[in-house]
Order: sequence, then structure tokens, then C-alpha cells
Amino acid sequence: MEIFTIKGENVILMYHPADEVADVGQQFAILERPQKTEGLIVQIISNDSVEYPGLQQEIIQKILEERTARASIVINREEGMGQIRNIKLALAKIRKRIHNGQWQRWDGWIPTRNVEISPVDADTLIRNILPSPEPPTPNVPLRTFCRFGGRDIRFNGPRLNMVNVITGVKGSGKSHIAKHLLLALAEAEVPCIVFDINGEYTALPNIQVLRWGKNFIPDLAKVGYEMLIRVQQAVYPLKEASEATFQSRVKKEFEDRKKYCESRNQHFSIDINYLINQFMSWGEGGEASKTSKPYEYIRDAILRMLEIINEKNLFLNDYNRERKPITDFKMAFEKAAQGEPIVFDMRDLELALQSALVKSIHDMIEEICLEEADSGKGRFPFIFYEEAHFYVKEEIILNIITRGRHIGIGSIFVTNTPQKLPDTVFRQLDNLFLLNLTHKDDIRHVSKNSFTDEDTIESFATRLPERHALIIGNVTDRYPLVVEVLPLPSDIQPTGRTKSTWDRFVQANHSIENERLEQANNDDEVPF
Amino acid sequence: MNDPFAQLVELLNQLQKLAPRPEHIRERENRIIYRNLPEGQEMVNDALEGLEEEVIDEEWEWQAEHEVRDFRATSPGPIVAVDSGIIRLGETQDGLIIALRGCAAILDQQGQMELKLFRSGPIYLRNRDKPEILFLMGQQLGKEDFFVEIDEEANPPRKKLKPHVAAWDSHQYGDRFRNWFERLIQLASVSLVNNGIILLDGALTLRTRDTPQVFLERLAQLASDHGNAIIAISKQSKLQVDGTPLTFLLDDYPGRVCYRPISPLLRQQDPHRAERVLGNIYVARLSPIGPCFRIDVKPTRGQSDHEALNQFFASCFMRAGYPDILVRAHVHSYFTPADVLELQAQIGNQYGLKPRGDVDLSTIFTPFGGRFK
Repeated sequence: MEIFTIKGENVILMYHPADEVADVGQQFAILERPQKTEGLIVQIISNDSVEYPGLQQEIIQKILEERTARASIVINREEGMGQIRNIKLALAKIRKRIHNGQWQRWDGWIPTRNVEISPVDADTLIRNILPSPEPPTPNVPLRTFCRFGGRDIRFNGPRLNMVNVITGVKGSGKSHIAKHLLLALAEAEVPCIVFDINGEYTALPNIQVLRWGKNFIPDLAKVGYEMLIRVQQAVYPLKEASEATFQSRVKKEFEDRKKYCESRNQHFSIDINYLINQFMSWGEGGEASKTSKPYEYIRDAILRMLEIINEKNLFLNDYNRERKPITDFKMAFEKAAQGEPIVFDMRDLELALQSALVKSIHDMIEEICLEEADSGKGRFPFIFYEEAHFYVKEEIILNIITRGRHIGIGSIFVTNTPQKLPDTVFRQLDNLFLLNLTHKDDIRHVSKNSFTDEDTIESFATRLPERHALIIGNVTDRYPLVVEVLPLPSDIQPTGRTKSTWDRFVQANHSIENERLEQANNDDEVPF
Repeated sequence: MNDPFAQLVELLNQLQKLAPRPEHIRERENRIIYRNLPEGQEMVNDALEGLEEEVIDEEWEWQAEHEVRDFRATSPGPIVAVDSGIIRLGETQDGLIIALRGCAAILDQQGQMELKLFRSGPIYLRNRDKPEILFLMGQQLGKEDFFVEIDEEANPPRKKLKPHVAAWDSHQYGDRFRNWFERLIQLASVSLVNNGIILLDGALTLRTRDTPQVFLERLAQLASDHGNAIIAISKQSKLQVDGTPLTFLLDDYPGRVCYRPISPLLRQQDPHRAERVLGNIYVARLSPIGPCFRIDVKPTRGQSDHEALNQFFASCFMRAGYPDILVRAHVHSYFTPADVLELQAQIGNQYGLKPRGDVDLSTIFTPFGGRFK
């Protein structure tokens, strides 16, 4: 292997594949002779064939001759001819500098051509890019979920702070990595919350699956009127005047009810039936003078809205209380902090409700984080957003990644449409877990991270072998590491499969021909 | 040994035996490397070579009435074209390394083409073996003392290079091998078809310094035994008539596909020189827009020159006024730059030689360069 050119951070190496293997993702040390203490670490991002003088002529001649003549070599003493066709070029990026034998960030230095080039083994690479953390960074090695060069890798948990993206095309294994991360974080008793739009995480072990309106029915007294307002906006948008009236009145109703309960030393309780009752009587008595037509319309609209929400069983009431649902998110969070992640199964929720749920839960998480900070427990959560762009508006995503950084919320965005995530996500990115991407716009978007360049992303994203991922960021000390992702533990059932008409063909001996044959056998008459 | 292919292999094996072994070269490590001899670059002509034989430099009268004939359509026949090429891969302290390629392109009457390729691989020619090697080469060309004087009285017989062999510089020494290689392929090719044309690149000049007359006579005999005529085309003839280069001798018939005999002029002027050609010399234009070439014709027994020329014209396609089949043979005798690189790699492997970097003179001659002047 020889250096062909070095331009900027690009190194082109020329090699014969019989002597060297230079697969995409592999790294080489280029050490200056004779001391071999100064050099570079380069990583292969693509391979090309060599173009040499006379190549075009050679190819044209071969093609034409094959068409028109039969050639036989009577005497051939030219051993090994055609080897030049085997020579390849490997385009590599400079990743590190070796100075006095130590790896450090590349500072622009390049070696002479008088070098020795050798592959970097997995142990050396891992030792240099995944060093043991130095105080004050704690050492919390997560359980392994990937392998490099045949060696299991354990990333340090704190290096997952704060913003992470897992991206790749559909079916490339995003959820697979997300599940690994979820299990690893849960094992470390990091509270995790997953917004799952496909029901893919529901079969994981030790999971609290919350289905809003089914087993998770929040108590309005605990979640507050804010969540109700969000649900109203999502489910039954009111006209401006009605909405303003509702928002001011519902706040007052909550305050009045709270005062009442306090005065009688009762736990604060409130539900939609109570609110319906209050709004029905709104305008009577002291407010009789205001019972003009417009007020009647507003009241009726608010009542209709409350009844619809009540029918959806989204909040606790006397009827659904009997089903003993989970009503308190904070209690669920406590369990999450003991290794039982919360998964919101949002498959059956309409988009507007998904959005309302995520926003409300996010508000609750913020509140929990402040309490965790005040109490000194510091059990800040990681939130997994599956295809966040479906149910979270851009400004809320921005809030998650900017404010989340201050209040301790770690986020993991799992998406096959990275361009739908705001640029800021990638500019603030701490770790990228990249699987196969094909769309140029997606590649360009992902490349906006500060760790590496578009060439590297494009090269890896389009060439990653199956069950492999590129991981780059704080966990790899900004080194683009192509790892083999391990299978999930064997006790985890596959979930999230799309229902399909073709599933019935999986059954043994079930085919259209068989079906027709059976039909024909059952018929008394032979069909023409 | 009459089989030309076997003869080729035999001499190549002999040369291989004479070449130094890699172990021997490695013993002298750091001393011996080879130097590139790039083709086409300026060479100093300091080899003290002999006179060029082919220039008719006397004044003689041009006779316009010498017949000019058009090519006539006739029945085509099979045709074999032979060409060869040489690459001088480098020179060492004690010799020269070359590689040879040859091709016999055969076009049958159905229009099917077959290519027979000959590739010598690198041949290491040590200067001290030169008399022995040239002796062997002469032997294969039918005259063992063609290149060397043999002192039979010495024991073993001592061989000494003859003067005017012109094998003193690497260029000409290498060319003796290219000629030998091509001649043996020609010899093998004359029997590949019957009642056809054997098309050669060059001239049928006898008694040149690289081919004994006996060889060409044997070639013609063998061709004739198979009913084949030999036609040789020279792209660049040095022959001049009355001070006019031969290729200008059809300028009085511009754009006409025709040929004109030159041998009668030669005989009239210098019978001795006319005898130095196997067959007869013509100048011919093979397409209306094409250039003129010297064509030497040696018909088979019972065939006239005109019949041979017309059969040749009918039997092969012309590419810009030059026989396509000869282009094919040439293409397969050519070394691309990539081939040269690979052969040099083979030298490294076979003989343990390392290339020495060329001295870059470009800075000295900047900005004028050192090649064209």
C-alpha cells in the first residue's frame, strides 16, 4: 500500500487487494520512517479502481476484438499480466494525528511519502478512541450492543448526553439500535420514556406500556388544566371567543375546586363531569345578565367539546376509575427510574392526540426534572422520539434540545426522515447512530453535524453492510466507528410487524394454486 | 528443429538460462538496478552503425510511361498478417532487458478473424553473452555465422561479433531480437493458410544486417508450397528514385487506387540492387484518400504479381488506405504504458532488479523542455 496523494484531509492510498484489504470503515496508521513515532490515522471511506494511461485504449480494443476475433495466446511468458487491473484506490480521511506515539486531534500535519502503512487493529483503535473517562465524568459502561473488529464495545453512558439521532432508511435497523440503547439505559436505571408510534417497543422486558385512554388515564387533578386545554385544541378546536372563554374559565374552575378541597381537607379532585356541570350552570344566577345569545353559543360549544373528550376516556372519571388505570405519570416515572422504561404505545391514537400527549408528558417531565434537581436525586430521563416530526412541532423539538440540555433531559430521535428534523438537532448533536441512507437530501442534512463531513456520511450511509452502523460523536470521541450491531437478547419477541394480506401465504402449503385446486376439487362441475 | 513455434520457445529458454539468477543479483545489492529506456525519447546515435542500404542515390531518368495499374476486383482468399513489437524495459550495468510481442492475424474467406498472440515476457540480455546469443539467433535464422565469426580452431569454438552487425547499442541490439521474433512468427504463419496472402510489415529486402537471405528464401519457398503469395508493406520507405522518395511516385495520379512497378526502374539503374529484393517492388495507393506505400510482392509459383496484388486487395479491408488486418496485428504487438509497468514489475520479481529513478532534467530546461528542438 502506498500513498498516492494527500490533499487537505483526503488521503488516497493505492494498493493491491491480494496484499491488503482496505474495506470502507477500516483504519490505517501511516507512520513516517524510520522512527515511526509521527504519523496519521486515516479511515477508508470509499474504494475506486485505478485509471492509468492507455486504459481506454485497452478496454476499447478488448471489446472490439471480442466482437470480431477469436484470440489465442500461443506463447505467453508475461507472468501476472493484468495485475494492474486489480489495483485499487482507497479514499481515506485523516482522523487523528500520531505525535510521539500518542493519538491526538489532527492539526493539519502530514507525513512525507517515506512511510509505512499498516492496518490499525481493533484493540488499538478502541484503546485510543474510547479511553476510560477522567473525572469529573463518571464511568458508567453500558451493556454492549455492538462489536468492532470482533471485540464487544461498551460505551460510557454519560457520553450519550444529550442529543442523539438514530437514522436510516426504513428497515435498516433503527428501532433495533434504539431498543438496545433503551435496554442498556434501563439496566443502568436511567429513566427512559419512549413515544412509540408503531408499537415496536411494547414487548421489551420490564416495560411499562402506557396506552392513553386504555390503561393510562391521567387524573386531571394531577396533570392540570394545561393538558385538558391541549386535548381540546387537538380534538375539538374552538373558535377564538369560545377558546378564550374556555381557557380563562377552566383555569378558574380548577382554582375554585382546589380551594374548596383544601377548605375541607380533601385531596384535590376534579374531572370532566365536574367541569360539564360547572359550564352548564354558567350564566345562571349572578351572571344571568350575560345570558345573551353569543354566550349561549359559547357555552354550548364548550359543553359539546367537554362531552366529546369525556367520551374518549382520556381523563379519569367515575366510570373509568373502576378499570383501575394508571393515573399518575410521576409514579410511572419512579418505576422507570428503577429500570422499567415507560413506553407510550401511540399506535391507536390519532395524530392530534399524539401531539397533545407528547406535549403534556413533556411538560410533566420538565416538572419532574426540576424536582429531581431540587431533591438532588438527579434521575434525569432519556426520551426516545420515534419519527418525532409526526407529532412534535419544530419549535417544540427545538425546546426539547435547547431547554432539555439545561434541565437534564436526554433525547434520542429515531427517524427515517432526518430532513424533517430541524437543522438545530444536527448542529447540537452529541451522537449520531447512522444506518443506511440513500436520499441525497437526508445525507446532506445529517452531514450538518459538527463531527464529520458530508463525504464520510455519504460514503458510509450508502455502503454500510447489513447489521452494521456508523456511530460518531461523544461516545466515540468524534471518531466515525463502523460497528456490527448485535442481535437483541433472544427472549425479546419481534414486534411492530405491519399487518399484511401476504401473511396468510406464510402458512404451510398455502398458495393461490393450492387454493384454486381445493376450490376446483370442491366444485361438482368442472369449470370451463 | 523445423517447427518455428518450437524454435521460438527454444531460444527463449536458452536466453532464460543465460540470464542472471535473482540470487546472483541480490549478492550485489545496491549496485545493480535498471534504468528506464523510455521509448520515443531522444537517443544519441553514437553506435557507429553501418551505411543504410536502401537509398538509391544515383541520378537516373524518370520514365513516366512505366505502367500504372488499377487494382482489379478478384476472388478473395485467406490472409495472414504478421507484426511484432519490442519494448526496451531498461538497461542494467551489464545488459539490456526487453520484451517482445508478436501477432499473426488470420482472416478467413468467411470473414472470421483469429489472432495468434506471442508474448516473450522480459528477456534479460547480458552483454557478455552477446556473441553466444547472436550465434543462436543466426542458427535459427538459417545461418549460424550470420552475426558472429566462429573460430573453429579454438576449443570450444570462439565466437566474435562481426563488424556491421550493429548490435553495439541497446536500441539496435534489441531490434535484432524483434526481427528474429517476427521472422519466426512469419515462418510459422506461411503455413497457416493455403492459396492466400501472407502480409508482412516491412520490405522483402535481401541481405540486410538482421536477416540472412537464406531465411527469406526459405520463407518464400514454404509460402509457395502452400500456394501463398507474400506481400510486404512498408509504411515508411527510405527508398528514393531520382531523389524522389518512393511514396511520392504516384503523385501524377492523385486520388487513384493503383500501383506502379518500381523494380524495372531499379534493374535499369542498378541490376545489383534490384536483385537484393525478394520479388518485385511496387508503389501503391490502397484508397483514394490514402497515402502511398512501398509494396514488395513475391507471388506463389505460377501466379503473377498482378494476380497476387489483386488478391491481396480483394482479401482485406482497408482502414484509411492501410490494410486493416495489419493494423490488428500491430495493435496486438503494441505495449501500452500499463503493460510496461506490469512487465517492469515482473522484472523485479523475476530478476530481483529495482528501478533507478530517472534524473529529472525538466528544471534545467525550463521553460523550454528538453525533448523537441
